[in-house]
Amino acid sequence: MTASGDTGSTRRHDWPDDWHDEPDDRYLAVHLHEVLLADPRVGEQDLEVEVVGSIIRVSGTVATEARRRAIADVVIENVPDRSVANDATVVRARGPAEPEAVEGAP
Amino acid sequence: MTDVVTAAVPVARIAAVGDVHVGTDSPWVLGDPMALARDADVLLLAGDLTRLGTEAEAEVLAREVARLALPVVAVLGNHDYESDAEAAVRAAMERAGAIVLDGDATVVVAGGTTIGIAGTPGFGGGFQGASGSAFGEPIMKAFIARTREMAAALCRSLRGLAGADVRVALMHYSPVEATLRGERAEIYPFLGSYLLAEAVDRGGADLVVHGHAHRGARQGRTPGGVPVRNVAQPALGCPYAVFHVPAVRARDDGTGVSASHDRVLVDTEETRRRSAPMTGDRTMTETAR
Repeated sequence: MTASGDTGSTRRHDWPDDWHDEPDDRYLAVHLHEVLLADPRVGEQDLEVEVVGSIIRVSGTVATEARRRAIADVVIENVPDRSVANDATVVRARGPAEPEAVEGAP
Repeated sequence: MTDVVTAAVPVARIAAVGDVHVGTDSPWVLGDPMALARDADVLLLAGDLTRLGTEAEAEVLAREVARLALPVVAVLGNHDYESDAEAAVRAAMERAGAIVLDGDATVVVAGGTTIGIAGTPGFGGGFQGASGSAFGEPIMKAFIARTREMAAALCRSLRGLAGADVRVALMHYSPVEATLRGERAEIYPFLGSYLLAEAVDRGGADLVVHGHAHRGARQGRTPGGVPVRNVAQPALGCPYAVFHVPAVRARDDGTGVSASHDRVLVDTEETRRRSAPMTGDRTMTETAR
């Protein structure tokens, strides 16, 4: 399993060759979660990955539509024989902040 | 020295947000800059300024920070270290006029009120009853040693701010479990450490703000009773939070700042008079760093 960005999270170390080339479904979800975090096209951590048979379901939130669309690209690049159900949504922080009076410090 | 206005404002108005996770494709993340400057005396950025810790990402946020007409004080978060370019991230923010704290402190003067801010990224390790120890393998000792280093510097910095009207501890990792509720308990040791709370309680503060806990709760307290607020933007749901903290500390020398502390004073009244974007040389009236 590879990531497009050579970031610290997913650098190959001295893994056996089949570690990345033959994904093990029992660990696929957590590996894909790390790839999505490290890939500069997505780079989001509030995502959840679920492997349901041949389908990779990704849910959670991202900051932009481009990052949401990139989820499917990144997953397919890593497991090209699977389908992607992309349920991630775009969320932006909006609206005014209501001030809070903070008291009670010792 | 700063020409301190004698009429103290009743509260320090502190805006804060963490985990804005700016990428090169990000829209502006800090909301309405006019509202921010109107409603707050200072903006605190509680780490994870970027997604992957690159200079290019930091430049995007720096452009937004440069147009803000209020002082900005930041710490880095774990994402800002991801590309081993944390120095470049820090430099980009400083070029935009932000003060980036890393175990040290700064003082912002708002009207007649001194707001002392001690900042550290902090680190993990867990909480009482479920924490790591500096025991065993060297890497485990190094893990806890980093947290201890962060906590010790924070404590020293807070003590150096003892004369400020309001003292705030700014960090990325959480000092308490209460603001992590909503996150999976299994990852608490990666989200904060009790050592940070102990540093706050030993050093003294009126408010702690932190990020890192996207799914965490908003409010908590240290065992010593200091209010703790999780300001991770995903937890806030709005661009930033604003806290009004009573300025109750008696001043001892006319500035409210202990003379021995390394500090930078920033006069927000002077800042607001400026209409041009702020630059790195903004109103630095005293620098001892």
